Amino acid sequence: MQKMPCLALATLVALPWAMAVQASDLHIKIIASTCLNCHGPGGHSLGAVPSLAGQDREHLRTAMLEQKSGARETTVMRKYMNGYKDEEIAQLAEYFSKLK
Amino acid sequence: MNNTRRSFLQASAATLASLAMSRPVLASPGKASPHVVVVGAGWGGATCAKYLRLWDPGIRVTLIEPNAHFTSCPMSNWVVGGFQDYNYLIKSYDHLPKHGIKMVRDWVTGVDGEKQLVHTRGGHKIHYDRLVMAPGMEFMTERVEGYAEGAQAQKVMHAFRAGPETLLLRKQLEAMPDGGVFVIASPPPPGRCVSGPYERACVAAHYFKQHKPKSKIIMLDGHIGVVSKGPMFKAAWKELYPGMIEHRPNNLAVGFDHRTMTVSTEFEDVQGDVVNIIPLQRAPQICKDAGLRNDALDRWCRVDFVTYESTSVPKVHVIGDPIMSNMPKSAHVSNNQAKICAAAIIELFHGRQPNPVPVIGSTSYSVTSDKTSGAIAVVMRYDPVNKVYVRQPQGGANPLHSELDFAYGLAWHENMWADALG
Repeated sequence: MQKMPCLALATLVALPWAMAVQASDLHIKIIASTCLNCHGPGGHSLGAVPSLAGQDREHLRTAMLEQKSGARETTVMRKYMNGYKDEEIAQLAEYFSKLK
Repeated sequence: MNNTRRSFLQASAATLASLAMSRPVLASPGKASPHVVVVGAGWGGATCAKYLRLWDPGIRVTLIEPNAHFTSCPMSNWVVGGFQDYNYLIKSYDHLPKHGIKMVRDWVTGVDGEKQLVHTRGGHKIHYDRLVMAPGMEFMTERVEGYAEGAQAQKVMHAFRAGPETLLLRKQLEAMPDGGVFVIASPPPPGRCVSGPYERACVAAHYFKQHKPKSKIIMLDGHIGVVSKGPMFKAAWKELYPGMIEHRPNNLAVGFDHRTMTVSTEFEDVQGDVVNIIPLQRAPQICKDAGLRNDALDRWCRVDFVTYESTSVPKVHVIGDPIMSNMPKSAHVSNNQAKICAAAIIELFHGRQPNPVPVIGSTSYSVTSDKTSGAIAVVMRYDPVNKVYVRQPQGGANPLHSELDFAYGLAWHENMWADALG
């Protein structure tokens, strides 16, 4: 039982950087998908909740950070943004900006 | 190294250790593409099937569902309140096959975890490489003495699985005389949609206020207080329906006599003209039979929160209402668990590591009238060390209802349907 974590850590150290980036992308892709049940499939909303697809990256990032701080008034988004780290917010903004 | 990457890599060690024990299905050259069977085309099952195909078209997906169409539990209280048509709750499954999902209309009767087979009432034996169980929950009606007889006589219903009982409750409220008493008995958590009973009181009061203003609603609450959105609901009751809704906490219904229309709790007997009892719930019998219902109280299914794989039956994943967790049992959470589970299954098939630190969001809207709604939102992050989802700060319910939340709630429904079924 003691050996398994050591083995895993050794494997981890040997991981190429690209794979770590890929893992981070996966993390963001899944978080983004959990935004779309409110913001519409593919980021295209069918109602009052704003669409996210194709929005300017910096606009999205700023909006989310302002929601997080409370500088921007929201109903539920402040609660959401405080659950995400700033770097995740930046990555989410980039992800949504690339959706067609 | 930032915190995200550090926690990600820390969690990676543990997951890689377990991955070292298994081989990817796709590793065998020439082997047919892996097959995922999903049981139940509700919010969790339909979403999982769809996202498996969206994210990896190389996976074959079979979705088994006994019903010809989807009936939405969210918004069913609008029908109870009389401000939405029942047909609005019904959505087609026709779009799902367009994603390459094979839909099988059948009822699953058993799961053979060793042979990786699903048995159906129609006589099918369907082999899976991975199985996703999303069968919703069942009611522990035996915990309310007399419930079965009352339900048989159509004198009581839960109306907590949208369908004929939704319409039955609406019909009985319409038939109730002015000055009548509507009793809603709700269980303590955990259970499906914990804010649903309080929303139901709102929509009934909204109807009574217009058509039967002398009527009263008594809530017999099995919990020690309003479980969810408490300040918002109490403010709305006071503002919109003063004196009409009486909330009696810590008052679990344990019996019902349909001849006298009397609900018994541990403390009192309450008579109603219309009686709605929502019993305690558990993971359905199919989960028990498959060996998935494995918590100490024989109620819920324990899963690994990274993959949603059962802790007792390998290659069987469970999502939505049946699992034991501190996450709400809601449409929104089922939909999000479905995506985390789908992504994990894809990674496992490819011999890669699933995301070891999933983040899940939960939002729900409860109407307080035909124009106002109150919202709650919580983000939960998986802590791989303690193996639990941890609620993040600042989450919770809005203290007041609003017309804006009503508009957002409506959009939530439309987008959720499109996300799961479109």
